[in-house]
Amino acid sequence: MKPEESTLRQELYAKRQKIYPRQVSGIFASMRITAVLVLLGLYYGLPWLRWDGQQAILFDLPARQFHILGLTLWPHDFIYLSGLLIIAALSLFFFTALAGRLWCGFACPQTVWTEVFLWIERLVEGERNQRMKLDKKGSLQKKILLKSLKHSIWIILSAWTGFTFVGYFTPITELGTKLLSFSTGPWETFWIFFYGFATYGNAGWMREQVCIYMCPYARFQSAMIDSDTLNIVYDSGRGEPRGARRRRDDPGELGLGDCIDCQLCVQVCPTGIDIRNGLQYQCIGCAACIDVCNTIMGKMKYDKGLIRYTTENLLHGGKSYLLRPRVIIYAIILSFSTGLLVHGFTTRNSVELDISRDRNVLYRELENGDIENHYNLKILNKDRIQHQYGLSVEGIESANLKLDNGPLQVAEADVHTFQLRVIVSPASLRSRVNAIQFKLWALDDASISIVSDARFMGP
Amino acid sequence: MLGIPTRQVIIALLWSSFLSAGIACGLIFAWIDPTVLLDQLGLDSSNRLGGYSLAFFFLWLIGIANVLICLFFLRPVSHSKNN
Repeated sequence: MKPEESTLRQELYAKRQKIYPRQVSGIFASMRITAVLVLLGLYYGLPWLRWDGQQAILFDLPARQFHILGLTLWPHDFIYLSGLLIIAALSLFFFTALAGRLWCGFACPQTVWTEVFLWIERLVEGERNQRMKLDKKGSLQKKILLKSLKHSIWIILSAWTGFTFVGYFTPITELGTKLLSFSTGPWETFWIFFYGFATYGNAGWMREQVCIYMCPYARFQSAMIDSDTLNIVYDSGRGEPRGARRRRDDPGELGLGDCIDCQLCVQVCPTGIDIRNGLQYQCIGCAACIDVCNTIMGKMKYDKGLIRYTTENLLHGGKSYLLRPRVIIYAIILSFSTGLLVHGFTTRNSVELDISRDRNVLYRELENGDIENHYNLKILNKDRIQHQYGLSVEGIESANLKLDNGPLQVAEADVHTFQLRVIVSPASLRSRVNAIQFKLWALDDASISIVSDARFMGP
Repeated sequence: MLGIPTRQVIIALLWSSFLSAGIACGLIFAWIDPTVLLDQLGLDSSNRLGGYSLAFFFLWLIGIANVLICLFFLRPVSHSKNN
């Protein structure tokens, strides 16, 4: 085995070392705290919001309706959800091209919950050094006490997270009442535990491994980055050669760069990397190293920004461009698809018609010789008011419509099935299978109409 | 196995199948009402949440089986020396 191969092997098989991120303060830390509070506030708060007397945001899976602020989405509207996901992905590309992994560092649920779990860990077990000491040399008694306290708080928070998650899918106030009397349904209970367990595992135990092994975005984000992308970079030209020194020493005399090799940038890193080794895919762009390095630079009375947000071009003394083909193309596709989605959504039909032939009888011959076909007519009224509809059939001249359970009236946000017979005289039938079209329209609103194709069977 | 850490193999096995099961579930139930499936299976068709959940776990299992087979085929094949 060649020497470089053996070091590579060792790295691949390196056992995971527990990371004890050090607390950090600074502008980016404040930004992340703000992001955590806002995002978790939204997550835990939104299900409790009411709108028109019902839960404002409810993905009512049992009823197959999504309610979002007074809007009702049906399974047919799935296309808009996919559109929304595509737009989300495009925005991710766009922002990654502009400023790297902003999403990972400030908005990803993994980051957000890990941050909160770390706060709890700090609260119970203390700062980095105390936590390391506890794990290495702490007495069994102290370990059991502190660890069980920490895990209990984690578990309570995780359970609340799981409860909130299920509260997006089944009315949360009812769920809460049921929970208090221990009468939640089996699947509700299961999903509360499942999601709670996932939170506890991901934010408490897995942490940076989720980013390294589980996140697909982490693997391909480098494809969106170019030399004009803002990234967290260590200015090695300024920092090297690194070395310890006293505050009053002149680094020039010692032949040293600005990096005092204090290791703090490594200690604050939630994924345990050394930013001074260059851009690495484990870096989630949380900017904790910028904050801590700036504090040190301030103490040393050096210029800030030894580690900073900059582009590769700027770092090497060149010029950087915000608007470049990649960014412009992402922006064009993004605005085009957003426009398409908004247009599609605002002009979406508020009625759906589903016509199926009665499968039991191909056709029936009536006493007077006329031919009769049976249909099931499913009308989905997506509007917010009740409608009565008119129905006509085209394609065969003498076609007559007979409704068995009319009138065609459907309440708001409701679906109703009607039985329908179409009767024609055999003279107007050209073949055994005849294409026909049903047209449905709202009697009180001419803008609501829909056409649906069907077949009429003859002898 | 395969020259990557075991935990990475386990995550690849469980996580990729979890993701695909989630996507498949979303796609399938955008068009099919779970009550139809439950009816076909002779199960209580009033419990839609149960229908979604069962389908999800079924798809997850299929995904896991798929990845297992894939991992099996990914094992290096021994080559003869003059290759």
